[in-house]
Amino acid sequence: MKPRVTSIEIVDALLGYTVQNPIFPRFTVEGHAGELIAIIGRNGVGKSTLLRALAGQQPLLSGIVNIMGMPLGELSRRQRAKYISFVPADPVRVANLRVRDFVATARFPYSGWAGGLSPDDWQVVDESLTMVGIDHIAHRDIMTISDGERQRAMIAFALAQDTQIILLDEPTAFLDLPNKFEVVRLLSQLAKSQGKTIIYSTHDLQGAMGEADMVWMMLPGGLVHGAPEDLALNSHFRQLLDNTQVRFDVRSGTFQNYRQYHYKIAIEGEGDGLTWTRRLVERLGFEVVDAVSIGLMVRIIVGKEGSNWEIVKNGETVFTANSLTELAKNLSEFGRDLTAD
Amino acid sequence: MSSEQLAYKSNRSGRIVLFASLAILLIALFVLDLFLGSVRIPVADVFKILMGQGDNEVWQTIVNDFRLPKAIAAVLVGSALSVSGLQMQTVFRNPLAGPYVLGISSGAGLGVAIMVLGASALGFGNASGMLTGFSLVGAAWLGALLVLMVILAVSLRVKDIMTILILGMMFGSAASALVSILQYSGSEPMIKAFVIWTMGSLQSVAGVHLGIFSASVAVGLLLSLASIRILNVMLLGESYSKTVGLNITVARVVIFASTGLLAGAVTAFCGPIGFIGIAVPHVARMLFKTSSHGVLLPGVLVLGSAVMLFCDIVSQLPGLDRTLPLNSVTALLGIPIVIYVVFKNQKFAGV
Repeated sequence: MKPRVTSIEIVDALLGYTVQNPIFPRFTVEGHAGELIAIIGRNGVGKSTLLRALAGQQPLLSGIVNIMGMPLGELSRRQRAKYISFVPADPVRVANLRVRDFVATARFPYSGWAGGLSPDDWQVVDESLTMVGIDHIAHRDIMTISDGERQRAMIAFALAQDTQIILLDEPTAFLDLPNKFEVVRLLSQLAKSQGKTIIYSTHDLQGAMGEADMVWMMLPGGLVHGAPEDLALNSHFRQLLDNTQVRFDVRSGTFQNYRQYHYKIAIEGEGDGLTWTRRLVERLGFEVVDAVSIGLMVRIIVGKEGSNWEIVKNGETVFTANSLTELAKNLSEFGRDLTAD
Repeated sequence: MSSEQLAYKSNRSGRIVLFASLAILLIALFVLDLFLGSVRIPVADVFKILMGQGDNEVWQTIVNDFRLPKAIAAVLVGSALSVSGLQMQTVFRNPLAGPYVLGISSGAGLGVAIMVLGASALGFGNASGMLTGFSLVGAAWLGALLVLMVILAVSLRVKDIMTILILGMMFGSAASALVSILQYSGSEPMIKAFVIWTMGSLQSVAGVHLGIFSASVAVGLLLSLASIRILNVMLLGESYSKTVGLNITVARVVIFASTGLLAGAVTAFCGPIGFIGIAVPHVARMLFKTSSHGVLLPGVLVLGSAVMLFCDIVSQLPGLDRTLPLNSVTALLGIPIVIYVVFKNQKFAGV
């Protein structure tokens, strides 16, 4: 196995505007080549401040950031622009700007104020467009492409800037579900294939758990980092949700609203039918229990024409529903008759 | 080759055709501007005079000392205002910005007002000779440069571009307020003289003035040409400017200096000519369908010159003995364009 290249080290960093009142506790963490790192945390915890500090756009209160072994503070503007690129959260909105011209602006650190772009520069630009899969719309006006395409164009910008480290501020915020998944997947692939360190902030926990190599979780008590699975197993996701009405289900790895159950019910059945019936009754305020001794039960009967759901009360079938919608309608009526014993 | 690429290629050759047609239009308007005027000079004679073979001395004087400098001034004014307007729209990322947003012309106006109205208020008499002399141009220059220096000093310290924009507008308003006070206490003939200055004119730019004027515009344009790539970066906004390592403060100082030279020179020599600087960049964007300053800058240069020549021709009311104030012509031509842009860009997607 190749030795891991440490591309970014953050040592004893303190974020904020005044030393008396830092916005986040001191922390130390590092990132490596080929890693996709997700920064997770509640609104206002300091994710954007951290990204800006890593981009060299805002100084740390104290502590050091090393980029490829060099202190960030000692790099000139142009050197920094060759090591770190930053993709802002708000989409580019400039009329009459062609996608390819937009991405070409990223070559600025390599050509200076007066010089034009060389054929090599244009090749880098075109390769970047191909890598994110938007070469076919290279000559379109950036205002006329979709949000997903625009986000890819912004990622292509960072690729064309050709930096070891790419920082992205909430790259999936404006995207629909498939685009959210695809963009994070794309970032993960780029980290692996290009050996880059890609660090992005996000509220999309599912996406981060699915693709990120590392999660930097900014909790009120400090920074926790590790593989997303570790953080799930060690109940850090639960800490993230402290004092909220949302809970993390360790078994399924999903997030749910915290529920208070008023009734108990048993379910007889298996497979997908069981999963979705369970979700339905829980949403209606029933706690699912194993014991059949409970007075109320739903029995799933899988037939050729589709499934049926029997509501069984004290051993007697009192209603048969042919859809979960119908089951829901009748179950809430039976639920009202019961007391939570 | 995909249809996208084909469209791009045709777009590119279309652009060359567009530049060529604009250049031809510019030359045609320039020649037309030389022919038209209150004295009728036959076309053939105008050409003879331009070749240095004229035999009518009066006509020679009219063409060489009045019409030719005026046409050249129109070209310089048109390109200076359009280029500085384009720069300001990009730097402030605001479609309604123009050459005067920094308060440059108000500063020049204040300089002229102090010169013209202040002198009369202090009892220096009705020296109307002042109005064409160096003193007037000097006073306007001083006022413009003073405001420019303040803007540059502010932009070295203030990071937020909106703050700079608001400061520029406030300087402008303060200068206008002072001008009002001076007008209130000035003598009637001097007030009229000042009002006529505010209407704009290409008439007084000749001889040595034309030399200084051309030199100032040339330096301003050179700074602007050197800033093409910076402008392309700044168009994307502050985040992108920072990530690609642009020194925003230095970039602003260079562009503001260029704008100050261009707008300051125009105001000093020709008065505060409005709307060309706001409208022409929008027309250029519509024609060239690009935001790249490598195309837009030469584009507004040619287009702005042509538009200014056209305004000058219209202001002379060809066939009549009267002329219109230049500022009224540029305003009536520019306002519909600005209104069109406002309606078209209701969402204001940047410039």
